[in-house]
Amino acid sequence: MQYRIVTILRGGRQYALLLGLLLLWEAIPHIPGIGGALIPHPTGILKDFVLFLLDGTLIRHAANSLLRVSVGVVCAILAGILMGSIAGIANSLGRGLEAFMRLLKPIPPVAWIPISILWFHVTDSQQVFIIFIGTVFVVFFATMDGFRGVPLRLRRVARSLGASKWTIVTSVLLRGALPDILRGVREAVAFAWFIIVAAEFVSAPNGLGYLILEGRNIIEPSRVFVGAAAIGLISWGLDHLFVLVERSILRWQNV
Amino acid sequence: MKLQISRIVRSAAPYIVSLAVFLLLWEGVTRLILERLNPLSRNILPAPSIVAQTGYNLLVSGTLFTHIATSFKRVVVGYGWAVGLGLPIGVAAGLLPVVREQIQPVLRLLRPIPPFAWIPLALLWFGIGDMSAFFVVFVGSVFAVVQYTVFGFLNVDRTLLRAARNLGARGWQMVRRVLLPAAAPRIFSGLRVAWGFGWMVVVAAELLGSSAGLGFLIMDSRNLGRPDIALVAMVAIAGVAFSTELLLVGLENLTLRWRE
Repeated sequence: MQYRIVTILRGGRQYALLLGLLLLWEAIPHIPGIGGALIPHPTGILKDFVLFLLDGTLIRHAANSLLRVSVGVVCAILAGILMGSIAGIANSLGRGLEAFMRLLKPIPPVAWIPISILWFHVTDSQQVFIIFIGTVFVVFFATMDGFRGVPLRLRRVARSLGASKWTIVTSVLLRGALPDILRGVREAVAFAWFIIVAAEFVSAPNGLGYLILEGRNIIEPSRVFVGAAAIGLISWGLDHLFVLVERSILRWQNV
Repeated sequence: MKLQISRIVRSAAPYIVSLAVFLLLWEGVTRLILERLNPLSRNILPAPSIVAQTGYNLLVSGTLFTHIATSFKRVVVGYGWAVGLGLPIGVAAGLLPVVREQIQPVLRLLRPIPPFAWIPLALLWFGIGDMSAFFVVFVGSVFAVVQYTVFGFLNVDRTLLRAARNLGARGWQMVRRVLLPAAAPRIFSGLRVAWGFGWMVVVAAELLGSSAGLGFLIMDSRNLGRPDIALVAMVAIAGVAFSTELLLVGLENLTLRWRE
């Protein structure tokens, strides 16, 4: 028993700094003259989180964000894989496509918000578009790199064994690129949960980004952390789920 | 020399061709189809020639330059803080397991917070202006600096370490001559990624609460119903972010010349 406590203490030692910072954070708003109302403390955030979770507000906002993220990311995956494969296989067309994507990529996804409002008005499609534009490049470049990384040897072997062009693309190149594509998709999903916040700031009547901005508008800063925590938890959960799926898809890799 | 020029031309050709095709298509579609269907379509998607004209006007009047300078200053200061704080923390955590052990739980808690989520807080704490932009850029880029730096040290080839130790390298010498150079490529990637993040975040910060900067210009043009200004600003952001990143790559290649 005593031994057990010692091991727990030893294992918990690494959380010393975290605990210290949390205590400090808890104490800061109580110092007079520092404007405590603007600095939410950890216990208050936790209380609000549970409150919002229980009365369904958090779930409602999260469901709205989840819908937008899913539609946007699925579109980005489809378009990214399609264009990425073209850029990975075809020579001159591929190079042109690659150059075009490289030129567009440096425009921050957030910068598309105002012009996309002109195109789609304030609708769900507008936020979906921002998610799409923010994640399509990740999938595109991952797919392209994946296709180009497939050893020439494999292609030659397949051809000499009599595989048609289409078979080579689908069962040699696509399969060889799969680990890279999945890496790109994983990054895209994580990134989408970052961007959704900004996408919902400007033009959404609900969603976690809206909840976060509301924290500023009605001066309830703990809402910012409640929303951010929800996003962190969702994207953490999705990432773990994704690793499981990835492992089962790529089972052949470890055989 | 001649060979080099032809190589540059050949690698630039796809960019020029695809850009030309894209602009021609865009011009054709807007002029020949959209504007004939609806004369007001230029308020939704202006032709590239209109955008170029607007861009020229903004450039000559100096407006564009003022906004670029404002955003640039914000990114540089916030990024400077992020590097100034993140690099020492990353190096300490990379070299000393004690520090790493303590810092990792803190990072694990803070990193999943989307950088944009700090914008409303910054506006509450610092109000509209430079200070909140500095803060948001700092928070948005500091984690990449720390993470890549730690990662760089953790991934130093063990053989390299053993060889250096066998040859008598100790303490500071080991850090300076072996660990730091071996971690440098990843540290540089972190600096580059963080710079990109800084630009992404500053636009969002300026979109929400600012009276100057490229993000403000984009938002303002929306309120004015002038998509051509927004497009000019988008091109300007991409141009500045792209060219400064090239500068960072050049700096990296210069510092890590031994790599080849």
